[in-house]
Amino acid sequence: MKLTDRTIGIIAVICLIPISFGAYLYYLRFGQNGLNIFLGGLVTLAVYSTLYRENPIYRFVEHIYLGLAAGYGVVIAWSEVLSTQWYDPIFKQHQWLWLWILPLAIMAYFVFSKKHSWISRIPLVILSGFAAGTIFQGFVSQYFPQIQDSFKSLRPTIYTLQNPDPSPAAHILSISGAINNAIFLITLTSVLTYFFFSFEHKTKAIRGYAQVGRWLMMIGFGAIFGSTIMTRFALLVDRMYFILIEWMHLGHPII
Amino acid sequence: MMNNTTNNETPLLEKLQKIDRRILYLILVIVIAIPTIWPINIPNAPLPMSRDLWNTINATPPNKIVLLSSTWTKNTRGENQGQMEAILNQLMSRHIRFAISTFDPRGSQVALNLVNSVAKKYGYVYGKNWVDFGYQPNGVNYVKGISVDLIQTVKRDAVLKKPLQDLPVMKGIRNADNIQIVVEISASSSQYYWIQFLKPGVKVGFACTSVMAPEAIPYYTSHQLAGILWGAKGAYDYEQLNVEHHTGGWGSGRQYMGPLSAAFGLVILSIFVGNLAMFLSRKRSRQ
Repeated sequence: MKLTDRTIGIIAVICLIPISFGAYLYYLRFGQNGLNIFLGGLVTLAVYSTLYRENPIYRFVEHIYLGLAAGYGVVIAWSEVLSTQWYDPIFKQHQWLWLWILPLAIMAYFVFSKKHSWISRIPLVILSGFAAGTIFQGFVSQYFPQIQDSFKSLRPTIYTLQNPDPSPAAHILSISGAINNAIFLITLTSVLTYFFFSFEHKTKAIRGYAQVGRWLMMIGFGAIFGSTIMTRFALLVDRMYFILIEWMHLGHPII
Repeated sequence: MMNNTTNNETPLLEKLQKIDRRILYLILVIVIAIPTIWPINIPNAPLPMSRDLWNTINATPPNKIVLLSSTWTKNTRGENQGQMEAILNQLMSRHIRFAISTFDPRGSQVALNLVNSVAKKYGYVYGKNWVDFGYQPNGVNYVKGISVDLIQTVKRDAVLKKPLQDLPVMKGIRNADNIQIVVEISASSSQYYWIQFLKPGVKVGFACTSVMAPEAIPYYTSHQLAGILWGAKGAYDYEQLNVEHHTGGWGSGRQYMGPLSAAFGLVILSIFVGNLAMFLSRKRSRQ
């Protein structure tokens, strides 16, 4: 028998009575924190119920979450940004020069006017100018050391297979490290060859080398995908810990 | 005879490739639940990148502070909380002064709650031993600002709302030169603010979720990052280093490694069984 959304909704509403009673018992026994955990456990189960199939309980919790997040965002935008960084300096500390931002902000709203929409481009241009300068500095700081680091030695400094101190700061290169650097060099050049479109990949050697780059990229993507799985599972394990240990008290918590 | 065997076995091979995902979810829940209720210890060897971060923080001189940028929320509690708790244990047991800040508006309260709970254990006092710089909405300006003048950039702390120079924890701290290391504990790519705009020479550490770690490793080998904590494994590494050096105890890193390993085992087994069934059924269909 397949339950309709309406039936599931009615069952959920009926279940609110024992749930409220359970929440009250939790509150009596564990206080405010216990009540928080109880509600957290219920919400977690409601969210995971979508794994069985899409249902109104999941949608209800999803909407509550989105509403809370939106409300929280508005409060934070005022209390942590506009109030502390703009309103307070102007109207409490009388730093009137900050008022120059106001006309610029108003100009941005002219985007809604067909006739005067060009005015909205003025603050956009100013922001773009700031961003361009910032990004240039960021690019240099981020990528220049990367380019420098791509010049790796292929000659070992010690002729042992294992590095006694594998930290990059130790600057020790064992035989395995040199092999590692060679693999890095092949990966770098072959992947660059694959993405080099200024000339046609006519010769067999270049085509083959680009193909090697493609395979190495696939291995890289596989490793990244594995790490993604690791994150998702760690988050699931944490939720399971929350439900089984913190909510249901089925085992010993971490001390 | 041959035909009969094929007819009997083919449905099983097909069934193995078409197991209802809800059954797999149920098996996954059971596989994770057992080692969560009855924990098992998985042997561990800390990665060099975890060890480097631990050593850098441990070498903090008394005239410097450590800045923890806590840009994570409850979404990634499974990985980031263990990392931050292990770092806090080390900082407090070694009596190192530290500050916290965040690039995520929701991260401020999460970080504050965690620090308060660990601070109780060590008797760390707010304003004297540690300080909260609060939510920093403009990452670029914040990082560039503290590189030159930390006091003028942050101005007031986020809890007492007092001028920073009035707090004992900030004694002798003026700019990024007085910071031993900035550790970005993050579920997003906020480490780039520090890599791109922090004053050169100031060390940056990165405690991230596993999904972000492969992207961060090139910055570790190029010395742009002093160390990395790789997800839950990084938390376990750090806890182990803390236990070895008596700077803290076990936490969620070790606790979660058992269920995590069991879940990986299930995935590997599922992939193996699914692929084996696919190859065998293809072979049979060709025959």
